Amino acid sequence: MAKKIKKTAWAYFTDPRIVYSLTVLLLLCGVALLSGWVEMRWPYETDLAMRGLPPSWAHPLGCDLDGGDLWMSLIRGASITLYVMGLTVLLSFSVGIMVGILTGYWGGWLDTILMRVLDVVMAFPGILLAMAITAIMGPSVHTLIFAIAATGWTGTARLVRGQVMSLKERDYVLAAVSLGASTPRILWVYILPSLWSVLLISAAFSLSGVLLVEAGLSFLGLGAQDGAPTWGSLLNQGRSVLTESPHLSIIPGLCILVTVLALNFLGEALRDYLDPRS
Amino acid sequence: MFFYCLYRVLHVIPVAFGVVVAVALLIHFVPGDPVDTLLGEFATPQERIQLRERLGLQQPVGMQVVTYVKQVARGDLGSSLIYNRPVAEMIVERLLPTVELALLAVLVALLLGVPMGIFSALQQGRWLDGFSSVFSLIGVAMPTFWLGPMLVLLFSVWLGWLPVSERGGWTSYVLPACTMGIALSAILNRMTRSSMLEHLKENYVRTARAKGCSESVVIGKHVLRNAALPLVTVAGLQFGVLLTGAVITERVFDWPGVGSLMLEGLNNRDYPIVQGCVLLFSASYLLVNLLTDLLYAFVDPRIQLQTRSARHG
Repeated sequence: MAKKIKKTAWAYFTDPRIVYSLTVLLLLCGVALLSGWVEMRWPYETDLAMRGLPPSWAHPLGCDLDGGDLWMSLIRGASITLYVMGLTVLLSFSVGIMVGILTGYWGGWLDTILMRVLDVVMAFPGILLAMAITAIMGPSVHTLIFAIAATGWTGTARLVRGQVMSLKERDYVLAAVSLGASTPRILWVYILPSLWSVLLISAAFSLSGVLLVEAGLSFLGLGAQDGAPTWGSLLNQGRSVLTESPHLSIIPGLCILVTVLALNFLGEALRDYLDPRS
Repeated sequence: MFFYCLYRVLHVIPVAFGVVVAVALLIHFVPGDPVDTLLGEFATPQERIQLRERLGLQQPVGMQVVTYVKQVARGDLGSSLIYNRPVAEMIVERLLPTVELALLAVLVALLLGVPMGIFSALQQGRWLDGFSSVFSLIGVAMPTFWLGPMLVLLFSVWLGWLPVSERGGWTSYVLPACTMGIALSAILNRMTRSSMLEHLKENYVRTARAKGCSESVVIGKHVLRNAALPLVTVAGLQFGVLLTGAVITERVFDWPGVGSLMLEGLNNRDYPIVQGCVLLFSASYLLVNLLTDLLYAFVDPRIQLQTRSARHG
């Protein structure tokens, strides 16, 4: 048994997709966690004379439009980006799981009403609703999180609803019901533990989706403006000086691409290992 | 078939109604009083009353929603606060560039994604398949707002082959259409490949080969026709991504479409324009999804059988 577990763990950690994604994500988390210390040690200083300077020995990634070091800007942006990603997924998953369980387990009129609400939210394509909400409420980190979560919970709700509807008909759940187990116990002990693998897979893809939406909104000037610029805001800055300072567009975009790829790889690898249907 | 179509059409009506209600309520997301936000603290009470009446905010919320639904039913989307013109008229003026761009993007996606998917399925495990997989992985992960500037940088700034931005001759369409179409082509490529691989293993393909059909007939007449079915759904579902892409692409290329009108509205806090554009995008998304479902029922006869059996069973 121990040998089998060892073999499975070895298969996980030698999968190139997992190696790549864990390396990128651990680096990103490390950078974000250490950003406070880095900023204390090497404060972010701006000098307008250095505005948009290309990469050099002194500034390996060049300078941003405020005249600060782009590498430092990316580190500061990473912590905000990760904060937005984490909190948005947490919020949208909490709402999505709750709605999915309510509609999937109880069904009836509650299911009908909540599913129609879900249909209406899903009728707004892509990030349009999030764009309208952030613009109307005024751009800030927490508005951004609310706006993305307001549209993001629908996918999780639909996923959980489908799973719960199928799980509640399984023999072991029916046995628990016939033995008189209370509804919270059935949900907590028998249904929720069976959901974690699909939720984990979905979380990886959701994180990459949130990163793209956050960066997209910031690119449009609708992102968080109450802190350091996020990667999307840096791209927005770079747009106006594309010819003179192309590094301001290339580098933040590459950071987004590498992170999205890591999360997509992680999601696909998790799906291969955890989802028996794949 | 008739009942299926009727069911789908009837299903869209309450959702469309819900969308109009949600759009009508959008203005209530403004923190505090929208009139204060729009006019600032130095506005006179007269100006405040006028704007409140113009936005219909003097009515109770329920009445505001009813009024807005009635207006939309008449094709009236209100008038712009900045330009003082009917929003519907402004949208119609900007519609053509967006539709042109969306159609060209779909063309790029079909021309790039479907053939690549077919060849990678036929050459499974070879270099073309590997290239196609990398293309679709990167294509899906690459944000439109980065791809656009990168294409401009490469083809306009460094190589000087294509114009940088703004709508003009046919060359000005190339970069925006590619920017919007590449992500969709990556998805179509992946779907075509997996659908082809699934169908290539079917018994009817073996039978066709055993009958002595040439490989081009087996692929073109048998496999492709069946494998293309899921693409209809995928293309329909991805229409929303395309619309979002339109807003971003129009911003990157200064394209005078509905997306850039919406962004102008967002930046100027011109709420009727934002409401009108969101409504238009959602309505077209709903319409395309409905048409996709109906089209799917026409091309796949199993859909109607399932519906009938579900109805009678």
